[in-house]
Amino acid sequence: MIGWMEQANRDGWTNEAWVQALRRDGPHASSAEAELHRMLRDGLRRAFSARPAVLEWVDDFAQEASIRVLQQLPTFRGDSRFSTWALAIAVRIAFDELRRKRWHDVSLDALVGTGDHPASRYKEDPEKVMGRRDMLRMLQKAMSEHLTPKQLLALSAELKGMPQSEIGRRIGANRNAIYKLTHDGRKKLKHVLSQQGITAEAIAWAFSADARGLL
Amino acid sequence: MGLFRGCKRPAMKLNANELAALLEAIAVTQEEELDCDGCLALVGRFAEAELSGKTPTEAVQVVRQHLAICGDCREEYETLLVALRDGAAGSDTEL
Repeated sequence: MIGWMEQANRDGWTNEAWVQALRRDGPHASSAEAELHRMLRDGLRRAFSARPAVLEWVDDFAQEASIRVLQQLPTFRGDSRFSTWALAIAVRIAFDELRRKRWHDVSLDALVGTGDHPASRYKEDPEKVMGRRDMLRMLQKAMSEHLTPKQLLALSAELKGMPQSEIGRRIGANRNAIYKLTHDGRKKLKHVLSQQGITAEAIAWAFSADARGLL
Repeated sequence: MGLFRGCKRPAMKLNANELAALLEAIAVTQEEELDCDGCLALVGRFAEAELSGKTPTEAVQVVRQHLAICGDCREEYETLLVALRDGAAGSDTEL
């Protein structure tokens, strides 16, 4: 009889081998879970190899990711390799935690009123500067008149660099809900602006690469 | 939570860079977009297509649109790519 480990290795860790081995009622679940943890830990080490400060947490991230992967195992459809699917989950868990640590002491209030930066990332292009100014002015007006307070706050916080998971943590919503909130806001602004002639094409013209210059 | 009740919170002031970034996001906004959970479900397949040089299927192209909008998912995707690239010669022999 061929053991699951030999089968998995012989087949190059097929998706089927992973799923079968990780079945909680299976005879090899314990050793397969240990292998899963190892695979995620090694993957996260590669992922964050350029950020040595993160490496001390990799074992914890891999542990949490192993649990999440097992919970979500029934949803694995085999669209990708199992290892890729599981590692994507692990990377998300790692970033959720890193962002939480980084933004822990930053309140939404701290982001209010930090908009008075005079610098623009666009060079002053005489042909387009007027159009850009008009667009930005109309955008501000549309935001104040058409966005809900939630949409305005979420979009603004996101533009100031706060991760969606952190915005959600502060207002009691998950990351997906924040994305939907900002998506609805963008759709509303797109509709309002397009009625005023500010189409995607007009925006592309005004902010095209040839007009852009990082200062 | 009462955070938004009555909109008492003063509006965040956005600078020109931030407003421009929003305009650019608006320009590529679609009526239907993948959310972050949907992106996570498909991003592995998208990453493998990217690394193998294959054109992602239409179903996976929605991931590209989401990544253009969502900075958080884009950061995670780029990090995933690093791990997959560096691991290509490693123990996962399916690559």
